[in-house]
Amino acid sequence: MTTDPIQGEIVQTTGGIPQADNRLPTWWLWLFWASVVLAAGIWLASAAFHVVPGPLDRYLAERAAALDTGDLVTGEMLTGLAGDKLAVRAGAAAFEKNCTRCHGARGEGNVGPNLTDPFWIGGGSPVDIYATIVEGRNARGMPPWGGELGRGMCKQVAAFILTIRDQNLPGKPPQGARWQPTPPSGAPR
Amino acid sequence: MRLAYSDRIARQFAIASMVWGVFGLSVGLLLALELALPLDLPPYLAFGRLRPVHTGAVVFAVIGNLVFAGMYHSSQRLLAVRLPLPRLAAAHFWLWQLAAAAAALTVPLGHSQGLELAEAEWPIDLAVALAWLFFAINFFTMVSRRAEPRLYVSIWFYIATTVAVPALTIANGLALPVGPLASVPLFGGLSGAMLESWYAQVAVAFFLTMPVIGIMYDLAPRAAARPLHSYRIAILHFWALVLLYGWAAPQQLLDTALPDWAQTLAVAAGLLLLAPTLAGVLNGMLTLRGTGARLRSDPVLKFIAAALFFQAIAALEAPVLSTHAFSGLTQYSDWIVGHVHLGALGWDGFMAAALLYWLVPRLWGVELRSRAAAGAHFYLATVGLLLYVSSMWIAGATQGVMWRAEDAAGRLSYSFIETAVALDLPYWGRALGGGLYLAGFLVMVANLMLTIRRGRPVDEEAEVAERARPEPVLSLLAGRPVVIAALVILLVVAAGTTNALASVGLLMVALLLGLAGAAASALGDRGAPSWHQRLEASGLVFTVLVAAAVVCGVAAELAPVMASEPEPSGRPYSELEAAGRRVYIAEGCAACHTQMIRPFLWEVSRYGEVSTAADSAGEVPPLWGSRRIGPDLARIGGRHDGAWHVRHLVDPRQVAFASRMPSYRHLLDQRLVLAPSAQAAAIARESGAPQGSKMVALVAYLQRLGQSP
Repeated sequence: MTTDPIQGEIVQTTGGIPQADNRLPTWWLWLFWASVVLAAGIWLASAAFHVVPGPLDRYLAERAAALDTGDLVTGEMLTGLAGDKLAVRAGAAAFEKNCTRCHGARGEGNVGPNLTDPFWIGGGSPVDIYATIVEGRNARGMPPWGGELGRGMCKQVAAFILTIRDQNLPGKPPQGARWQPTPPSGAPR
Repeated sequence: MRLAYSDRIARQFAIASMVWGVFGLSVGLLLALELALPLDLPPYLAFGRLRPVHTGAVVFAVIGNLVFAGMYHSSQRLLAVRLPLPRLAAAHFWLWQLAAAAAALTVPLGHSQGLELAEAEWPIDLAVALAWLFFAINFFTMVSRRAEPRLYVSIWFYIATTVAVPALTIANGLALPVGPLASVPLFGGLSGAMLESWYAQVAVAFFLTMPVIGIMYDLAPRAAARPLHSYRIAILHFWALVLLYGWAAPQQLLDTALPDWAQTLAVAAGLLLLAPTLAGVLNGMLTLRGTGARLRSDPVLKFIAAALFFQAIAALEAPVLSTHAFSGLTQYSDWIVGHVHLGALGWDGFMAAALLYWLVPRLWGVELRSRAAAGAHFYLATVGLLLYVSSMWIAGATQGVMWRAEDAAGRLSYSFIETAVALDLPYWGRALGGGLYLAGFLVMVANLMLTIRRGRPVDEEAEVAERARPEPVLSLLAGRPVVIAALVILLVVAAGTTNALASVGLLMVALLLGLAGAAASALGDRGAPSWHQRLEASGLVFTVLVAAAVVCGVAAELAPVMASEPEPSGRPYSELEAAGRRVYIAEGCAACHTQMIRPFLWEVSRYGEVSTAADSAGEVPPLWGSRRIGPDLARIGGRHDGAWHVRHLVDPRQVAFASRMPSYRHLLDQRLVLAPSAQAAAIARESGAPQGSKMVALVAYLQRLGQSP
């Protein structure tokens, strides 16, 4: 056995190449076994116990939360959006393409209800209108548009509808309940 | 015994590697400029058609030729045997060059299988498989006729390469030929996408890693004239890579329609790869200890040290990129392009330089012409690489952040085109970095060509001691390490198929078993030859174990996915739409457009509902794509009218002011032989494109995307 001053004992020579047999540093052992435990933990948490939801479940939960709690969508936002010319124009374009068949060219109603009167079947608050667009009213024949248009576009369509409401265009007779805005409690008049 | 090595083959492959290097890197620079400038080039030079030429040439012709030069040269010396069949090796050489040249010619002409990194059509696949067979015959004959009793570390890595790369190349390339340069791949949908990611990982990434590590284990001790730092680290490094590489393959499919369990497994396996890869880097780096000033003056040592350093960075980056949190940000962005170039330019490119600076003077029996030029190459390559990679980090982070940005009302803050405009500066940085790297490469080629001109071909001779080669011992297959490894793998697979509580128990047992095995080998008797030393004496048993190790990961993950493949539902593509899909593949649209909407709110807002496995059922080949230079197209159908599509395809910048997309005006003039249909007539009428043109077919396909009838 020979010994190299730097590498230590030469344990063997194969193919003409002498080889020492140094151990790995301790930090490496920690790193390795920690990665083994972490990898097993990742598997158990995601695949076995489902503590960590998979990407699709996480997305579905996020989407449901965003729609339910209105975290992403508030009346103020939609009202603000109704003052944004670009958003309203985009909403109007989507409305023209997808909604006029049932709601009439100017929202005066056809198969679907008149959107320019103060009566609303699914509630007339901005968020109600938005939610109706996204989720639809299946029982009454209104399809959900959230998937097809995307949430962003649905908001713009809602914003467009906020600009045409209360014009009282002649069209389909009123359906649903009359809706009146209530000032937010505690807000200065 | 006096032995004269047969080095002609190494000389051929080394020169071919340099020639292809100039070609492959130049094409890369042209592509970088196409994105930075929007150039209006002839259709055959458009980004989508040329990018496969760049990736194919660099992987298979530059690194491929280099790896074969290295393996032919180093195997003869490490095994103490002359190349047994030089003519077969020559056939391998010419077949390989022919296949590379044919791929570089046919893919831009539109003959593409649509499989990323395996675009070339079936006759070329066949030539590549044959070339691998020729190499394998020569290589395994050398292993069996060797005068050296035991296999050195490098040979292990060459065995793994020769077993795994051709196997996966063939599996991925399985296709039904339907014409001289046309075929239908055998696997589609989810399995096809998964097989493709295996191919990318086990054939391409493996090919760019394993044989080059083998060359490093040979070159570092020889060039440094120092002993290898650690035999035991080499054992750990090798088996960890062979066992784990396949499991980590779905890393690149995180958040896609791949089943959750496969994604989780890939995240875990990616994490497990970190420590062994770093151990290998340490082994190489510490072997260079004691070389002192030579590390600064000797180009070979300098390039090896830098290559190891860049591999360490890439190894640290990889498990981070394959977490869900980071993948959401970087997947499909330029970050991934930066990551693969860190590996390809940093690790492979620097190892290529080290090997060539080592081989050429020895193969032509002359001193390197200029050490100063090699030093200049080192600086150009380092600065170029760092500029390239950091530009891509910036570009990728910019894309990732801008794609997901929403304002207070939940609207996307940026249109896609705004996110593309933001990349101007990084794209110029990348082109400059790539240009510097190419300049360095040209300096090396000039330097080496001048060296070759001063020398003449020399086949090295060596005195070799004929030693008894031990008989292969099949009982090694039942050795303790094999039993423990097999048990651990079985326990892990079992844990994946039972209920949650049982899987905790099974994983605990697997962990304890692994610890016990590690402890037993650490405490083992140091006098007698260890199990692994006896294993190295048998090429056959070694090869069998390597094949088993590679296969288990592939089989355990691929089989359940293939079994759960959803049946195609809905209306199949019309003849016109199918023809449009072939145009999409031939033009290489998938180089810039994905068809995979990931489950994120911002992606759904931008592109439409999340893509599911059912969406790609029956899609042959799947066109999920890997990068978004342009927007996702999975649900583009019906979003615009036909006239918009034609206007956009003819002059993208008329529609989207700063688009980087090339013009597809030529599709208006190119004809397709198809039976006239009402659909074609309607699209032609609506869009104004001439009936029977490829444009009509492509628009029909685009309008079909995401429209379930």
